[in-house]
Amino acid sequence: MLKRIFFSLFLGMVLTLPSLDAMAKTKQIYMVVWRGCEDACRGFKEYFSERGLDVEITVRDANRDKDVLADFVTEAMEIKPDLVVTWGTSTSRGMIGPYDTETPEKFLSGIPSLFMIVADPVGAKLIREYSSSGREFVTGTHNRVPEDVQIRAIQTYLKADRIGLAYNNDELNSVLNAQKLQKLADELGFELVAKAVSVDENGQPDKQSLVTMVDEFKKEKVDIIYVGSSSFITSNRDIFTQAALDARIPVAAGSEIFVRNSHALLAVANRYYNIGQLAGLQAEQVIFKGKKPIDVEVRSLSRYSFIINMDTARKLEKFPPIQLLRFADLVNK
Amino acid sequence: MNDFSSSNTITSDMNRRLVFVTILVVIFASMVSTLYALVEINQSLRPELERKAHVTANSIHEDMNRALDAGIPFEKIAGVKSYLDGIVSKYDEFLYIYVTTPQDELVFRGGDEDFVFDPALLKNASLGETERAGQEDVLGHFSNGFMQLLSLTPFFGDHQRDVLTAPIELKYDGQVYGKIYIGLDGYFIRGELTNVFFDILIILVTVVLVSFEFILVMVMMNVSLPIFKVEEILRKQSNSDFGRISHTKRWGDEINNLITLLNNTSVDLQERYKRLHERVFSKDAGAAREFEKLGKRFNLQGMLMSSGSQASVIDARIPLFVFSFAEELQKSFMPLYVDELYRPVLGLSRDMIIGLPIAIFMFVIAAITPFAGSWADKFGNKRLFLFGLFPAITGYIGCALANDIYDVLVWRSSTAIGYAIITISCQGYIAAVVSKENRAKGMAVFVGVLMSATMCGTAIGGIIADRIGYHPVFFISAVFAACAGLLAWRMLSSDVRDEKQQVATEIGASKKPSAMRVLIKNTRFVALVAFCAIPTKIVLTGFFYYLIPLYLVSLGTSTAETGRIMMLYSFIIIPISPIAARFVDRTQKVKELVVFGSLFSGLLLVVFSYYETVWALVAAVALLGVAHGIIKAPLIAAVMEACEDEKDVGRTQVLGILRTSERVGSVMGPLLIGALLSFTSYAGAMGMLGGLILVITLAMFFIFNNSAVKQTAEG
Amino acid sequence: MQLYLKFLVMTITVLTLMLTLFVFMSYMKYQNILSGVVSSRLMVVAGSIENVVEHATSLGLKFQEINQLESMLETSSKLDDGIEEIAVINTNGRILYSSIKDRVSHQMEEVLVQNVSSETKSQWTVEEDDYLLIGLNLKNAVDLPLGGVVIKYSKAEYNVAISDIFQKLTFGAFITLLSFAVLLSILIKVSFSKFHRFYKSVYSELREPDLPANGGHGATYLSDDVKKARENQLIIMKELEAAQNRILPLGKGGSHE
Repeated sequence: MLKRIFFSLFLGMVLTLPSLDAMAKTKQIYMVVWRGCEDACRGFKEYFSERGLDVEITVRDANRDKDVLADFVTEAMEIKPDLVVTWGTSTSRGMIGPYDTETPEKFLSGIPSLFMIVADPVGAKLIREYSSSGREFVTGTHNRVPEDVQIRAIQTYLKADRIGLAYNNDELNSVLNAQKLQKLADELGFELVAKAVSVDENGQPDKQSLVTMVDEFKKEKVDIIYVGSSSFITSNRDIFTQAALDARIPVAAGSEIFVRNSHALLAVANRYYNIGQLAGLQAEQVIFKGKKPIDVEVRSLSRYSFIINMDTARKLEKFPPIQLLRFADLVNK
Repeated sequence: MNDFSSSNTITSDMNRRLVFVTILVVIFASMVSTLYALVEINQSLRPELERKAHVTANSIHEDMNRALDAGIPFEKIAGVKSYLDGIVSKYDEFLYIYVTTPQDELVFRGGDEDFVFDPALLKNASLGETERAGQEDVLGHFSNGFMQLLSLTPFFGDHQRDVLTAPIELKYDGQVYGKIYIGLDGYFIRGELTNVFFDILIILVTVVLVSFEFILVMVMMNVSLPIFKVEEILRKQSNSDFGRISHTKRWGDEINNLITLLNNTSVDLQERYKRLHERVFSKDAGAAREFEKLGKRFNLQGMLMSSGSQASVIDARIPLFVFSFAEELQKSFMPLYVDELYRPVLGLSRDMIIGLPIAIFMFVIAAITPFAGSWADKFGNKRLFLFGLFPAITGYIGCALANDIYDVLVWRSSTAIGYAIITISCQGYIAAVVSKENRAKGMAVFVGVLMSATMCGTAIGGIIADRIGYHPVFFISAVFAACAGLLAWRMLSSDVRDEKQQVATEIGASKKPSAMRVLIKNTRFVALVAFCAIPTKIVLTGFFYYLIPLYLVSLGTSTAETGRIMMLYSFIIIPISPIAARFVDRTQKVKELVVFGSLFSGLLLVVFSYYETVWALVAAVALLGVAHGIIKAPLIAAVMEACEDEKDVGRTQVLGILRTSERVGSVMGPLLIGALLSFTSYAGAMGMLGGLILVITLAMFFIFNNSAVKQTAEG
Repeated sequence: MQLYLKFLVMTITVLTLMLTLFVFMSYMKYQNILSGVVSSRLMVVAGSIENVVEHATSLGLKFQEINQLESMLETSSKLDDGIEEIAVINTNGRILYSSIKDRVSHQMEEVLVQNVSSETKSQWTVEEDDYLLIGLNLKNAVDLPLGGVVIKYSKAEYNVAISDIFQKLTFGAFITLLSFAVLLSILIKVSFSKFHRFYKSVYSELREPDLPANGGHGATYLSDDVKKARENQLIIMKELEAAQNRILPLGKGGSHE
C-alpha cells in the first residue's frame, strides 16, 4: 500500500517536473527586421507585454541589407529559440526560404518561424496556401486587403460609379489586380475604366504617360482613380497624384504610402501596429498553446484602416463622411 | 305573469342576467383601469425617453466636434443624413433628428421625411420643460394624459405623433455653432402599451370564463336547487305528504324563507297532531290507533324523503377548472425551463433531454391511469381528488425549487401522478352523477372545462413567467392546486358511488388479453390507431408542447407571446370539435374526415416549416387546432365502426385500448422531435414530422380502401 | 342574507381579484419598459466611450495611455444623475479609468469580469439589488477582448418613478373598484327584480293564501300546487278538529286554540 503511494508520488513528480520547468523558462523569440523596430515590431512586442506573457525577444536589424541574413540564419540555428519572426518579404525569403528551394541548408530548419508584413506570401512561395502553410515549421500573417473590401470602403466615402484604374502591364501583380477589379465591376455595380502605363521606345514604362493618363481619365469622367499594387506607380506617386489633384480627381490607393507621403485622398490598408498584434496572437498559439506552425492558419486582419489625407480632402472639397471620422486615420490635418 | 312557468325559466333567466351583468361590468372596469394605466405609464415614460434623446444628441455632438477637429466646416460635414438616418432607425423611439444653426435654420436632418420642418415648432420645444412644470393639478394631468393617449390611438390620425425634445446646443471651443432637435415617436409608447393591452385582454378572457363558471355554480346551488326543493315540498304537500325536513337555515335567503315557510306548515300540523295524539293515546289506545290512520295518510310523523341526489356535474366543474388551470401554467415555457437546467443525462442528446420531462409526464399518466380507476372504487371520487393533490402540489413545489434536470424529472412525475388521479376522479364523479343517457353530455362538460382551463392557463402562465421568471410560476401552480383542493372539499359530494364499476372499467382501459388479441387482428382498427391516433398525439406533445415554445423563443418572442399563441390552439379547437361532431352525425363521412384532418395537419406542418417566421407558426398553431378539432370526434366514430363486427369486444374495451395507445403517442412525441432536432433545425423537424404524417395518412388511406374492397368482395 | 347580496359579494370579489392582477401586470410591464429604456440610454453613453477607446487602440495607442478618456468619463457621468460610476476595465476586472478617480486600479466584481472577458458577448446588463450595471465589451484589432466600459447606475433614480406609478395604479384601481361596486350593486339588484317578483308571489300565496288574486302578485306555475297543498292543510286541520271533537269531550280539549 505504502509502496503504491510512493510510486504514484514519484510518478507525479516525474510527470510534473518537465512541465513546471517549461512554465518557468522564459520563451525565446528571435526577430529579424528589415529597417529597424517600427510599428509592426512594436505591436508584436506589446502584444506580449499587455498580456504579461513571459518572453524574451531578441531583435536583429538587417538594415535593408540582404547579405547579413545568412549570418542571422546561422545565429538562430545556434541559439535554437522557441520562435523566429521575420519582417517583410525579403527578410522572410532570406531567412525561411521558399518551399521549393534547392538549397535548404541555407535557411532555417527545425525551428518554428513566423513571417509578417508579407503582402503575398503565396506569390513569394513562402507558403502553399493560406489555410495551412504546408510547411511544418512555418506560419505567418499577410497584409493584403481584398479588392472588394477596398472598393466597398471607397464607396462609403464618395460616389464611385465610374472608377478609373491605373495599372502597369509590366508587373504581374498589377495585371492580376486589374483582372480582379474587372470581375468585381459587375458584382458591385460600377464601371471600370482601366488604363495601362504606356512604354517608351526602350520598352520601359514611361513616367510622362502618367500625366496623360490622368487627362484621359478626366475625359472619361471617372469619379475616382484607383491605384492597386504597382511599384512603378508607387515610385512615381507624386507626379501621378499631383496631376490627379490638378485635374480634381480623387485618388484611392491600395497602399498607405500614397496618402501619407503624397496627395492621394484615401487608402484602405492594414495598420502595421495591428499586424504586429496579430502576429503576436499567432506566436502565442505556437509557443504557449503548443500548436504546430503548420496547424496555425496564415491570417490577415479582419479590420482595416482608412487613411485619409485631409489636405487633399480640403483641396478637392470632398470631406469624409462623419461616420468614417470615428475610425479613420487622418493625415495632414 | 306567465314567465314564471317553471323553475327552469327562472334559473336560466337568472343565469342570463347575472352573466350579462358580470361580464358587462368586468369588461367596462377593465377598460377603465386599462385606460388609466396606459395614460399613467405613457406619461411617466415620456421624460425618460427625453433623457435618452438628450444622451443621443450628446453623442451626435461628439461626432460633429470630431469633424470640426479634422478641419471640416460645420456645413460641409459629409454623410450626416445617412448617419442620422442610422441613429433614427437604430432606436425605435426616435422619429427624426434635426441639426440646425443657432438661429434654427435647418442644416441637416435624418429619419422620417414626412414631418415638415417648421422653425415655429422648434420654439415650443425649447419652452417644453417650463410649460410641463406648470400642469400640477390632478384633473388637468389626467385629461392631458388622456388626450395624449387618444392621439396615440389609430382612430385619431397622425396628428401630434411626434414630440420634439428640448434642443442640445452644439459647441466648439466655447462657441455655439448649432443645435440638435430630436423628435420622439409617440407610437413607440403605443407599441409597448399594445403588449400591456394584450396581457390585459388575456386576463379579461380568463376572468370572464371563470366568472361564467362561478355564476353557473352559484345559481345552481343558490337558486335552482333550493327552488327545486320548494317545488318538491309543495308537490309532496299537495300530494298529502306533510313530512318535515330536519333543518332549515336560520339566516337563509329568500328561497330558504320559502322552504322554512312551507316546512313550518308541516311542522305546525305535525306538532298539533303530536299533541293530540299524546292526549288521545293516554285516554284510549284503540281510538289512538284509529287516529294514527290520519297521521299515516298525511305523513304527519315522518321526515321528508328527498327524491333526487344532490350531486351534479356542476360540482366538479370548478375544482377541475382550477386544478387544470394550475397545471397548464407551465405549458408555454416548460422546454425553455428545462433548457436552463440542462445537464447531460445518460448520453442522450440535448434536444432529447429537453423533451424528456414532457415525455415522462405523459408516461406516468399512462402508467397510473389504469390503477386510478380501481382506487376510485376503493376511496370514492372526492377522497381520490384530495389524495391526488398531494403528489401534484409536492411536484409543483419541487419544480419551483429544482436545481437540475433530475429534479425536474422527479417532480414532474410526482405531479403527473396527481394529475392522473385527479382527472380520473373528476371523470368518475361526472360519470357517476349523470344518468346514462346524459353520459356523453357529461363528458363534453369534462372536456370543455379542461379545454378552457388549458386556454387560460397557458396564456396566463406565459405572462407571469415573462414578468417574474419560471420558478415562481410553479409556486403559483401549487397555490392554485391547493385552492382546487379546497373547492373540491367544499363542493364535491362524498356519497356518489353508483355506476362506478362501469366507469372504472372504461377508464382503466381493461386490457383483457383477449380483447387485445382480437383487436390486433383487425387491420382497420390497427391502422386507425397506429396511423392516426398515435401520430395525432405525437404532433400534440412533440410539436405543440415541445417544439413550439423553443421555436417561438428562437424567433424572438417572449414567453407571454408564446402563451398567447399557444392559447390559439384551444381557442380554435373548442368551437371546431362540436361542429365536426355534428357533421359526422349528419353525413356519416367518418373515414373521409379522419383522413382529411390527418392530411391537413401533415400538410400544414410541411408548408409552414418553409417560412421561419412567427406569423407562420401562429398560422400553424391555429390550423393545427382546426385539424385536431376535425379529427377528434370522427376518430372515435371510425374506431367504433372498425370494431363493429368484433362481437367479443365491448365498446368500453375498444375505447380503453384506443386511449392507452394514444398515451403511447404522447410519450413518443417529445422524444421523436428531440431525436429529429439532434440533426436538424426546428423548421426541419417540423417539416419532417409533417412529411411523416402525410406518408402515414396515405398508408392509412390505402389500407382503408383495400379493406373496403375486400369487404365488398367478401360480401 | 339576501340572495342578491351573496352574488354581489361574489362578483365584487372577482372584480377585486381582476383589478389586482391588472395593477400587478401593468406595474411589472412598466418596470420592464423602464429598465429597457434606461439601459439603452446608458448603452449610448457607453457606445461613445467605446468609439474613443477602439479608435485610439487601433491607432496603436496603448490601452492604458488614452489621455482624453479620463475627462470624457467625467463629463459622461454627468449626463445622467443616476450614473454612479463609469469605468473602463481590463479583462482581469482591474479599473483602468473611472469617473471616480479614487477607484482607479481597484478590482471589479467577479460577475462583471466574466462578462467582460467573454469572447461572444458584446454588451450585457446585470441587475443587482440597488444598481443596474451596463457593460460594453471592447475588442482590439485582432478581435480579442480588451476589457470593457462599465456603467453603474443607481436604481434609486428610477425606483422613484416605479413606486410613483405603483401608487397611481393602485389608487386608480381602487377608485375603479369602488365605482364599479356601486354600479354592480344596482345592476345585480335590477337583475334580481324578476326573481323577487316570483319570490313575492309565492311568498304571498303561501302566507295569505285566501286573499283574492294572491295579493296582486300574479300567479306562478306553483299556484296550483300551493292551492292543493292549502286544501290538504285545511283538510288536515278539519280532520284534526273533528278527531279532537270526536274523541275528546268538549271543553276539555281545544284549550290550546
